[in-house]
Amino acid sequence: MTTTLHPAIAESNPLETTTTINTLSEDLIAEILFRLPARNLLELNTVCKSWKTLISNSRFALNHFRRSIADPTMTNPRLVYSTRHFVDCNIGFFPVQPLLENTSSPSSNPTTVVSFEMKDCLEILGSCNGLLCLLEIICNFVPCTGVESDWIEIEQRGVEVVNHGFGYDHVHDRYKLLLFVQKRRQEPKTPMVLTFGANNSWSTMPDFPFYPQRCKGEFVSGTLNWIHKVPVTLNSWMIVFFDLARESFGEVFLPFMNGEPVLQVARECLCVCVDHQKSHFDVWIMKEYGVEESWTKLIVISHVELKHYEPPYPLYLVYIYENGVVLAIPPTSYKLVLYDPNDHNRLHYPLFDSSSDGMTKFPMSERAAPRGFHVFHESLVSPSHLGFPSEVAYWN
Amino acid sequence: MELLCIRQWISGLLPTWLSAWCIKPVGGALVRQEPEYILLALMGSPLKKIMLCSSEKEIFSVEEQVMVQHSVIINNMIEDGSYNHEESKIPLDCVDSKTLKKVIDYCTHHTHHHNDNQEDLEAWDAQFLNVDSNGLYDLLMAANYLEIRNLLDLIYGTIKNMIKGKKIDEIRRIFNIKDHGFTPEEEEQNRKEYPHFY
Repeated sequence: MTTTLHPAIAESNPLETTTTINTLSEDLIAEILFRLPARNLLELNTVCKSWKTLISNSRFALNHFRRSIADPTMTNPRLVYSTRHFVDCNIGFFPVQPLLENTSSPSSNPTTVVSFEMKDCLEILGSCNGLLCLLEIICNFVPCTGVESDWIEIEQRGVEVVNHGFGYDHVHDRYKLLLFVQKRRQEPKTPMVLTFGANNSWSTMPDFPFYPQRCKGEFVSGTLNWIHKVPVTLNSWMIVFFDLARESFGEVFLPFMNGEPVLQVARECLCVCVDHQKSHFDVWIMKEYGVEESWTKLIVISHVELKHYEPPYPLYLVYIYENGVVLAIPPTSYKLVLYDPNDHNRLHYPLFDSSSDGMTKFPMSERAAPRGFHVFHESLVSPSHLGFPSEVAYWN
Repeated sequence: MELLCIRQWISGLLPTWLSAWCIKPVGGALVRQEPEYILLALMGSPLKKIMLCSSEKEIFSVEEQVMVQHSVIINNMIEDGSYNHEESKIPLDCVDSKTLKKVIDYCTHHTHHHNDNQEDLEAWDAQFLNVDSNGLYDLLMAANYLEIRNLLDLIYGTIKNMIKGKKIDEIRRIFNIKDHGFTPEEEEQNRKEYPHFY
């Protein structure tokens, strides 16, 4: 941090210079802008028309996101959740970084609440590249810019969305939503794919080889993933995936695990958490998607350390920090907890006071809680890049 | 010691039959290589130099190892054999002498001091970039042309820091944006959306 101005700024008469940084080509300006977080870039839209064109470009937004994803200071990762209560039209955001730092005092960053008027019972279907996909009907919402797309109706009326997955098809540059809908319980589930765009198109999948047992498909690397039990076995599990580009299916094998694994995405990789022999939880990460050998054990958490543990409830992984600390929701305690592998897996319960933040209830209702959290990264990606009509400036 | 003297000195030491064995591939052909060069390569000589020619036709001699480590362009030229040590120099028509000297300075310092601690290196870098906006621009163009990744990152980082946190007028001044291209209505709208930025 310097207190004196850089000579290039301090010049009294920059107009006299001929070839200087004011004649940089667009490529080079882009290189400078790539290094700024999305929030700053929103302001820079107002500097001049050519910068605005550059920053609003969808390619730029995606490239910027890809380059900033590894750095939390750039994307300001937050947990977003809805309470999933009837007649509650709020979603809440709180940043993950303060949870790591302030473990002995309440987080000074309160929850940010976004309200959607005239909507009941919002659910978050997925978070991808800075876009949030919400269900009441369906809409895409970008918290960074505060832009909300038009709400889309599900073609079949009166159905319940049972399983879902939201992700980005990088081959065709499209965002897609996979839904399994059901009219009533015990009836067959119908899979449908919604491709977002100027003409949101629905397609049905005639041959779906499996019905996911868990609600949410985890998006990683162009695929949506679910845990599935290997047929005709007692304790064998695999990952089935839906490839968004090809709209086809496949399998990824897991290392053998005793107990049903819980799937999550962290650090842009697939992770599983499995209850091992009822004595501890193992957390594994697949460092390279699709490469079986890249499964690595990340952390071991013994049951003894968990208070109020009751089998068979699983441990839900929420977020993994850069230094390896794991944020999770242990079974039945309904609190966020930090596990530090660098400190003998010491537990910390970050203080989190949400009583006065406007969310009607902290989302720790039974068994619904872990499904409620999504990790959200800020980006410039906007529904307008998907071809949606004019934006509604909503919240900043 | 000048390379010429070393060559002559080594030539005097080597038996003549040795040169028959010194063959190396250059650009797809097998060329008889002077044995003294091979010996120098075996010794890991840091004295192997290359010639860079600025736009003002001034020649700069610099250690090959230094430039190869930093500049992708120069590394490629040396690797694919298009640079012949004996006679050629690398013409850099878009880089003037003052800038070229600075670039060589940067690469040389970072090669010789790469084991220094981070703080010292950063302090040196900060001092290195203490130039006016003309100089910064020239360095950026040179680093971009020669593809010197770490120098580019350094310069982009500096420019980014120059604009981060500044108000819009300041940014327009730095980039000499006289005509922002917005209509008065649009400008008004911008002001409302980002009041703290104006």
